[in-house]
Amino acid sequence: MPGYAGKILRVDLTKGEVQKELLPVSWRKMFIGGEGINDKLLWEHFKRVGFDSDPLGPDNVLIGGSGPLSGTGSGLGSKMKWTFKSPAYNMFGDSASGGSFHVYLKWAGYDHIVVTGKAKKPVYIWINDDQVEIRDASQLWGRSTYETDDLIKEELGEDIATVTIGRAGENLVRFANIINTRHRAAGRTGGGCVMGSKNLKAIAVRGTKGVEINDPENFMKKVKEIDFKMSKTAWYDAFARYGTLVVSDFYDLVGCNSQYNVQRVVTTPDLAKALDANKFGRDLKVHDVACSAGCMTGCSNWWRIKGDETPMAKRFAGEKGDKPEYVTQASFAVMCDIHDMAAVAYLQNHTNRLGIDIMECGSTTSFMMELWDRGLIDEDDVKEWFGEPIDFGWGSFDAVEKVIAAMVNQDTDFGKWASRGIWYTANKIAEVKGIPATKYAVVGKGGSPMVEDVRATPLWATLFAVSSRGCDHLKGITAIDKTGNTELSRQLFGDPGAGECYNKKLKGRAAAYFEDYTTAMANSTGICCFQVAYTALGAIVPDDVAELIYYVSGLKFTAEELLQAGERAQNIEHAFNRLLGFTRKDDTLCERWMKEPLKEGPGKGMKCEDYLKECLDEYYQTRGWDVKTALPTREKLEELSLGDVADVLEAQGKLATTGRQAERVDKKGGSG
Amino acid sequence: MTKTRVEVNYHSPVKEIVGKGADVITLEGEATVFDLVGLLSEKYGNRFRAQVVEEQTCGNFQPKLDPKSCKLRGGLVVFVNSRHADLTTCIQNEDKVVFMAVICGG
Repeated sequence: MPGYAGKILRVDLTKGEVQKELLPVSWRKMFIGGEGINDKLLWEHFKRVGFDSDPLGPDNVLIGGSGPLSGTGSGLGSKMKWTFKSPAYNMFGDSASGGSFHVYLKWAGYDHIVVTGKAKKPVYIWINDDQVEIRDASQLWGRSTYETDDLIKEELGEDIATVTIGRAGENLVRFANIINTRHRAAGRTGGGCVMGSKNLKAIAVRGTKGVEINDPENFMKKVKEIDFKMSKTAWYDAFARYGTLVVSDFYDLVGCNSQYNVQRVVTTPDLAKALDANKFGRDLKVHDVACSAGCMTGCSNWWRIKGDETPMAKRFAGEKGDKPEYVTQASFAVMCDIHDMAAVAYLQNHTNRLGIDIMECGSTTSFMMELWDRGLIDEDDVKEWFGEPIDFGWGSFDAVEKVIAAMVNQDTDFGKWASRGIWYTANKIAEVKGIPATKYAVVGKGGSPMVEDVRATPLWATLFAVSSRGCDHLKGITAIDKTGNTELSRQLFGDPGAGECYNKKLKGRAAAYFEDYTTAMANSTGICCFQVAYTALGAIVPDDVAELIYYVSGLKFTAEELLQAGERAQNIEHAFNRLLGFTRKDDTLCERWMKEPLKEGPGKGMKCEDYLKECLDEYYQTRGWDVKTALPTREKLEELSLGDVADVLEAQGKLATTGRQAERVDKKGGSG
Repeated sequence: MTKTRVEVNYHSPVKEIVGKGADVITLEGEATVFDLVGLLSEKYGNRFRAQVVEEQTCGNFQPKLDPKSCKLRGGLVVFVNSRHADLTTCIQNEDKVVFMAVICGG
């Protein structure tokens, strides 16, 4: 079938075996591809090995997948998805990244790769079109992701793409990243840790077959139409120029920045000046970059530090790289108060070389800074936990570097704690020091959230609370509220509420819609969520995506069917978590966000406990799940043709005893 | 006639056209965001106007902005005193107005 390579590549590292199987046609219509089919593969895998399998054990699985728009040259298929059981959260885990790996993988003949088992010694997988080998990687172990990419290319040639792990993944830092095509990180949930646990240092691929397009003429006509509509927006002008580096200006206005470990939501004027995107453009930017070849937005930046741009630039003179993103700025400059974009750019490269999640690094460091600032920890504590004195005052670059080194090396008490995440660290400090440390940890489901404040934005608070993979923005990204887009809210929901930023109106309903559309559906097709979420202005709507998929593959979808495919993925992900014991009680936010009112910004006085319960009620109602427990119902799962998922949940006592099931129980004489 | 004096802040992509980050603008009488955009379009030219508003002119370029045929450009937001605004929002003396593009997350 056009638009798809048509095969799944399976690699068993324990047995050293490679198998290829056909991608079922029925799955394409049900799940589209990418995230959706990854989720189906994950479900089938854990149904076989047991959902409670150790995420660091050989029974975990690493699934990579692309969507039908990937590798088509359309500029709209830039993202791939990695899916696994998260060692960072011990729940469903997935992560998207740009880069070229998925393009080459598809051109080699595979839509998805499924890696199971554990190699006896370090290996890498080499996919050269039809030839697939498991190769020795002893000489690569201990190398940075950049060195690994260089060495593999020296051996195999430049016309390949790699995904690699650094020392963070090798040392099983729970939130280690997979680094795609050298600079693109699949982060947050620990895919790099899963690779490390399998002794898998890298996967390299060369693909030369291309992909067949069903109707090339109309496909490119549609692509050009979308490109034209997108390029007419102000979003495009700003985003193509600086990417997400313009976010902090906007967040100051909405009141959702995160300075001083999320204690200030409007950045101080001197920090705002240091973060100015135009200043980055003048000082550091060399040229625009697209994270995946041919992307029609090209939001990334290639930069180089000359040495005199900022106070710290001299130390990093000559360093060059791709990005940084808003999350790099927010994690280090905003959270930790480091007013130096050259230092931030360097940290982007540093964390990519090690293959470690930026937000977890920034959150843990700023958490320590707040404890230090409040006098809850002192020099003696730091010396005991790190083996050396460190200044944890706000703005200490030394503290950031030492925290990251400790996490990766794990040769100190702090390193052993912090490599398991911020919540584990906070609890250990509370235990050994006898202080209320957990109160100051900004966390969600045990890990660091996306580094922005959500108290003023009930829609984002809801999305963070219910996220199937932890606590961040990439399970339902939208700007409908922050832009005050009441017109779009009327179109989608018949009411302006979702477009009103600072109240709870329609936020549960909108959260479910954007989870299905801008992430699950988008990540199933290969479209970048930035292109979908922020062009909710008529540039890409579900009908456009349906046309694109038809022209590329011949598969006919209605807009409703596409959204339902997204809903299907969401239901599988949440069902996975329910089997692991996650329920409504886990869909919550940290103490700071729940109980401390905002002290500034347009949302001054807001705190999440004032509205989250009602938003969650509305979210579960919209989902068709049990409102009290958040357990899925058989009716909803069968409506989505996921009766097999309902059967597994029912057998484990994790299906809501409401609706038809409750009737059935009553008929049997049970209590319901 | 009363005068309305407002502080205007520009962020990307408007800042690149204006060439600076802020202005102090004085309008005659009671004014709306539309009036401010009209005045700034005269001051900074058609590039500013095209960056901020979309006009349905049926091919006939109008020398002056027409409120009936224009709306804020997609992806651009205006804030008045940190609150979301549109072209019809009233502005008052000493208000702070911001023009910027929308990008969240990252």
